[in-house]
Amino acid sequence: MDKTAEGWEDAPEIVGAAGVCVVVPAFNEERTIQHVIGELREAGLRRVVVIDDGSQDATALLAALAGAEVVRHVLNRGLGAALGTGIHAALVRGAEVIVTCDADGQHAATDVRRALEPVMNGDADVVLGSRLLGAGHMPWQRRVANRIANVCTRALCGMWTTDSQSGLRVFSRKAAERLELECDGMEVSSVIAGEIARHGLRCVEVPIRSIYTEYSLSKGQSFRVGLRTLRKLLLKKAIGAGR
Amino acid sequence: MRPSQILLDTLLLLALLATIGKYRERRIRPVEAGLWSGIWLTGIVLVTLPDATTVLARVLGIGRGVDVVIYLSVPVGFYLVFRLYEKIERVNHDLTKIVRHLALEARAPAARGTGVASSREPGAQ
Repeated sequence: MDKTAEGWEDAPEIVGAAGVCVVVPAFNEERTIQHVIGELREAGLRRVVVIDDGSQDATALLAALAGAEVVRHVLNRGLGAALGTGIHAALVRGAEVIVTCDADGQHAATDVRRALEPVMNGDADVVLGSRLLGAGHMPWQRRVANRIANVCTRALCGMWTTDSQSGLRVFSRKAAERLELECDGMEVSSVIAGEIARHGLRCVEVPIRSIYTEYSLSKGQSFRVGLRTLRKLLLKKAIGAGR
Repeated sequence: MRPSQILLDTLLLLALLATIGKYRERRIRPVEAGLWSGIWLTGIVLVTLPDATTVLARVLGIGRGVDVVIYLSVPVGFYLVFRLYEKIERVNHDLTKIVRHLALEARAPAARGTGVASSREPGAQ
């Protein structure tokens, strides 16, 4: 994470007081998890819940040592399942605003704080961080894959966003309570977009930078995973139509 | 009746009896029992009276009786694969619910104080 773009001297007062809870789904992220939590906490986001999705490395221990609360899945269930657990955990703990953030260090803490503003000001129910609106150097392969994912999300889930696969999202409590994430895998990002459309939630996109490292690129969606995600979305749609 | 017909009919009859047995033990629902029994009975009729497929083929405008069986088996196969996928998805979803419940509710004594909500040590397989 990068904190050089702007300061956050007032962060604890603004962010900490409003019951903001950051949910970080993590699977075998021992290389980055402490850094990610450290940057979030330094930015005033004190309540961090890491969902360790059945990691086989020291992710859970390192996250706990960094000051996060850790909720562990005994089995690896996928991103959608981890996000569902995390949002549920945050709601149970009384969070008024819930942030989801990737564990691979690709989001800047400054962007997380900026993304919070529309929800905290009451201007939106949901904020989606958009890497394609922000100044960044997304590799062209990712850019193309993202565009395809956006079109598929629009066609299958009924909502257009400029970055449907972004991991940085902010939900008001009201919005989080309405989400029905009946999916376990990567398709959750598109499903969330569908839920926003289905419930008519007020959604805004905020430009964010993506910090690409060799590590974060290796952890991202591959073309094969993208195809599997599309297949799952199509079958989910078919099953839904058949009911 | 040819030996191949006797063999196939015997196998299909065994499958039918197995379906009835599962239904009696309440391991399958009435709808499933009806569907599978229908498939096995149709198979028995077609094996015993192969000319019946030829009649059906003429009615449908398909050349040979065996082609009718192939054409019909493709959509039936797709449907069964789809139902199987649906069932796997349901089982997967139920598994996630169990894992989520364990994660949110079960806190091992050793984990308390560290914030780790699991009985498993990090790094354990």
